[in-house]
Amino acid sequence: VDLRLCPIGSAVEVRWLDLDADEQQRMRELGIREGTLLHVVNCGAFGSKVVAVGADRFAIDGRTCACIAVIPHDEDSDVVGSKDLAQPAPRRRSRSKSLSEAAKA
Amino acid sequence: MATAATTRIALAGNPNCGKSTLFNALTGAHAQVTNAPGTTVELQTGTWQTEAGSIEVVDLPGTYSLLARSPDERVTADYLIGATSRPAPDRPDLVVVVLDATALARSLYLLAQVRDTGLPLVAAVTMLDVAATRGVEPDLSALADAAQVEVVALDPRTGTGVEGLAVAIDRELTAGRGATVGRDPAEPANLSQLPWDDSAERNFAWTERVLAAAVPAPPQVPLRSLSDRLDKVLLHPVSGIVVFAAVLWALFELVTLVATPMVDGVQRLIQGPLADLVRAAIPDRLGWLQSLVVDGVLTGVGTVLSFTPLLALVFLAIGLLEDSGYLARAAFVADRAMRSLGLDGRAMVPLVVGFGCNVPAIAATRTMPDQRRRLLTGLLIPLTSCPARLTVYVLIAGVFFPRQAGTVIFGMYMLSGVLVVLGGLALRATLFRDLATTRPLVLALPAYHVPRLQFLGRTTGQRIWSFIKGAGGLIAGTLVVVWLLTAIPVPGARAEAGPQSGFASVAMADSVFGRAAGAVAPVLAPAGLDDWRIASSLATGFVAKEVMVGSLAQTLSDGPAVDASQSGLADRLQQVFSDASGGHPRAAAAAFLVLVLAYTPCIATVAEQRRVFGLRWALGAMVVQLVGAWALAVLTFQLLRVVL
Repeated sequence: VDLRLCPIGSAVEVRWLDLDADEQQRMRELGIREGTLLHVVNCGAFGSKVVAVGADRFAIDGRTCACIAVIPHDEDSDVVGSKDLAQPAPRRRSRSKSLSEAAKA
Repeated sequence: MATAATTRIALAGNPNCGKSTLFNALTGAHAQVTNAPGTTVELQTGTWQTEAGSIEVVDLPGTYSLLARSPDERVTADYLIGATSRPAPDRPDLVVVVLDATALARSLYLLAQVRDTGLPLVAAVTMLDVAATRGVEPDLSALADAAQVEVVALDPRTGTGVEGLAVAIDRELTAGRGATVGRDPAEPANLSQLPWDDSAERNFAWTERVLAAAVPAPPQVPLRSLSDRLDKVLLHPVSGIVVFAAVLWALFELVTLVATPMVDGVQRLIQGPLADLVRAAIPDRLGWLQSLVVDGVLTGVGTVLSFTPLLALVFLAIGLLEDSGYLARAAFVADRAMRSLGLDGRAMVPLVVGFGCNVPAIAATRTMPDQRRRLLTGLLIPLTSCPARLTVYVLIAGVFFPRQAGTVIFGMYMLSGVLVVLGGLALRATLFRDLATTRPLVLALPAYHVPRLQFLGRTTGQRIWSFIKGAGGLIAGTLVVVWLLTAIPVPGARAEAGPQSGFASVAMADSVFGRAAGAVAPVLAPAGLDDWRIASSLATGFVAKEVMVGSLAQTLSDGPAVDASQSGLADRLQQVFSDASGGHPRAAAAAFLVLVLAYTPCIATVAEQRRVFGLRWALGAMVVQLVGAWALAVLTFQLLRVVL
């Protein structure tokens, strides 16, 4: 699942960054690395997200969100279950839905 | 004592970590804004008076990494990497790395890199209160033990902890230890000696270790802070855009409605009572000196000073947006629209301010973190149509297109927007190819703050003084030169009026300025504007667009200035444009409007471009604008003469 599909409240772990080496390096310097726990705090236009990394907040544009592969975090998040996040979802349809709805679709 | 008068410290940290606030808290009003050598990146230096003596403080541009990716980051990296091998004047004695407690992971990564430079360092932790509201309370003693550096808690907004910082710096310098403490002696001492990926991996591991020691139990689920709740509205796909549009509208209104009376007031004060005082002080027999001082020097100084209330308002307004934390959100909301031009969302604010006045808009580009994008925005701003040009649109559209005047004026604003987009695309495809690739947008969002008015007032004052020093001389000097050209008669000139004749009392047509305009006029023939009076008004428009209407009225009457609304002016304008264009006055008028929109906005804008981007870019932009505007005017005339 890519980050663009994650609704507000989901907790996910970064698996890999599908970006150029240089851009990947900057993301990692900012603290978004493989294994980092992200919480989706807010959603903006065109698939953009605001994520929490610890006490830090990052706004990430939709195109970049689509390049961040994530898996659900093991522990329960406050909105969406890890089981839902584990299901692959069609990208276009699920943007404004919860992942569980997307999985059912 | 370690902190002698020559001690120099550098402040390094991530953007928005409170570094510049700390700089202001340390140095007070004793700060200078200069450009880093060979760049247009601003560096602030100031003096910090401590009990131990004076310390020179250098505020480096904010960066996430010493592996630089932008010119601003390069300045910081160049300053710190390899600093130990440079002689004393170019080397800081110590680096204060400002750590943002809300973003400890990325702050620690920079600390790890600075530690690699071998320079003595002290870590100053800010934003502890904001971090606490998000459930993160770092253990600073554990942080100091794990990182093997002096750690001080600071609140730069209140000045709390500044004394502790002075003590820590003194202790660190007295101890004379570099940042090699706690590091494996086998490791290379200098970051520049390592391949970037090696040093990065090592520093990531170090960061994780130190972070785990400082924050052993981070919250599993982030606490929803007030900033998060505000962001739900301000970054929302609909309400976020509405709020952003409202903010832009308010900025535009501020520049046009609020600032204009203040600008007029300053000009009236200088050209009225002050000019009268000067005239009274200089004997009438020295009429030329009166004219030089009043019409040349005082007009120049008045023009510079009249910009100060406008700049103060814009600096304060943008400072409020920046200091409150909203500007980062605005950049995010506007990002998608600006990306097609190779810009990021932050460019939207100066471009909109440009429709109010180009001068503060150029200055407002400083809010953009990347030098190349700042420059690209600064080159596009002159294409935004400021209200000074509106006076010309109103006159010309009213005379030549009376029934469609409103539509024509609206069309000029639309054309201005189109020119910004086309100019951006053209520049991105040529001089700014490096911005053609769309890069990921990952913005660290600072928490919202109540803006600090005292801090904003002080920085606004510094920036206005910087404008007066940097651009004021050029503006005033140019106006004096223009006065000289209008005052010097050519051989055989007629005396304008009064008992004196010759120097400073000559009709414009017989002055060097008028003759030069006559010599240039044939260049405008393909645009249907081959007339010395039109060329002369365009030349005065280079000084300021506001004076174009008066200049046209004066030259058309060939005597003292007449009011633009005078009934005969419209007929004379029709006649002049008709003669100049071979019977196509409306097509020539349209070409004239396009020329006014697209050519160099005014000397103040050029002076500000020179101050912010350097002489080479300012002159280059001026030439390109002149040529581009001429070509557009020619195209307009040649197309419209068929139908008009």
